[in-house]
Amino acid sequence: MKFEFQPNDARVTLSGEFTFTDHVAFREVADRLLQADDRTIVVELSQLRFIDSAGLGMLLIARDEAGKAGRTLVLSQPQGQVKRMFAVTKFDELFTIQA
Amino acid sequence: MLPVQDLQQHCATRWDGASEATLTQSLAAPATACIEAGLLVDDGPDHAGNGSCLSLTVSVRSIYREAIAGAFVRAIDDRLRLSRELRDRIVTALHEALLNAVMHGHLKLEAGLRDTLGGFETAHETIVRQLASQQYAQSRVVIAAQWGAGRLLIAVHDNGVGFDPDKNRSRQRGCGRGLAVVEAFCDSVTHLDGGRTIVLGFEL
Repeated sequence: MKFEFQPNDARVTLSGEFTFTDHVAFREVADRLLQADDRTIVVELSQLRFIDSAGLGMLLIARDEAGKAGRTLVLSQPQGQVKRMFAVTKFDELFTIQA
Repeated sequence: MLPVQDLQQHCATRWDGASEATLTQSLAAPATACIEAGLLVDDGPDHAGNGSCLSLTVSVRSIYREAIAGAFVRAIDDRLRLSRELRDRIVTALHEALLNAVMHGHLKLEAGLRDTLGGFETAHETIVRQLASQQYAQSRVVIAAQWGAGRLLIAVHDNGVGFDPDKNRSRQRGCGRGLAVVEAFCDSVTHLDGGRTIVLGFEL
């Protein structure tokens, strides 16, 4: 998985494949998002082509951490396999997802 | 990649374990059975001998390092010309089956280690350390696909400790979510051998 932050660190774009081998990379992503000043933090997913159940689990943990810090984690523009994974696991009931 | 054995239509190849690119070469037709170098194999799959099969015996170390499911399904796609939708379903289900075999069939991670951001680095370091140890040198997974009569079956067998799919299915985290994904993306799922084998079924 690769990631790229926008200047204020409140929005990050993930690309490639987000799987069970990405714990360390995602920890860095989540830490930077949670340090942003904005109340809403956004994970942009339009360039992410694959996610597994471990990646979904990491997003849930980041959501919980954001909630504890008074922030809302929003997922934006999932496509293809990622969108299908969200549907199967009912992620739309757990997150705010921007189409 | 040179065939190391040719018996009628059975063609065995060896993967050097170096990269996804060399795995793709090793799985290319006419290969029907590919084994990662360094693994002592005595429980490989039976082959139909008619060319409508492909198997890969791979270490759990390589499953954590390389995108094995993607390479394996590309090799099947080269033989069967799958639709994009079906290919995505097969890759996802096979990846989850492999993830489950490694994380729950083999590795012994402390409970809850991956449930907090703070545990992520420790979890990764623990996984890498365990996989590098001699104990896991022969820990392996066999992926065996067979197709015909409008159906593709992919069996994933590991030589780990197994698990109880019924007990884990109700869990919302960990392998509970992974099993839900497998069941949603396959047309049929069968668990065998105390949780050490899962058979993924797809209509072609």
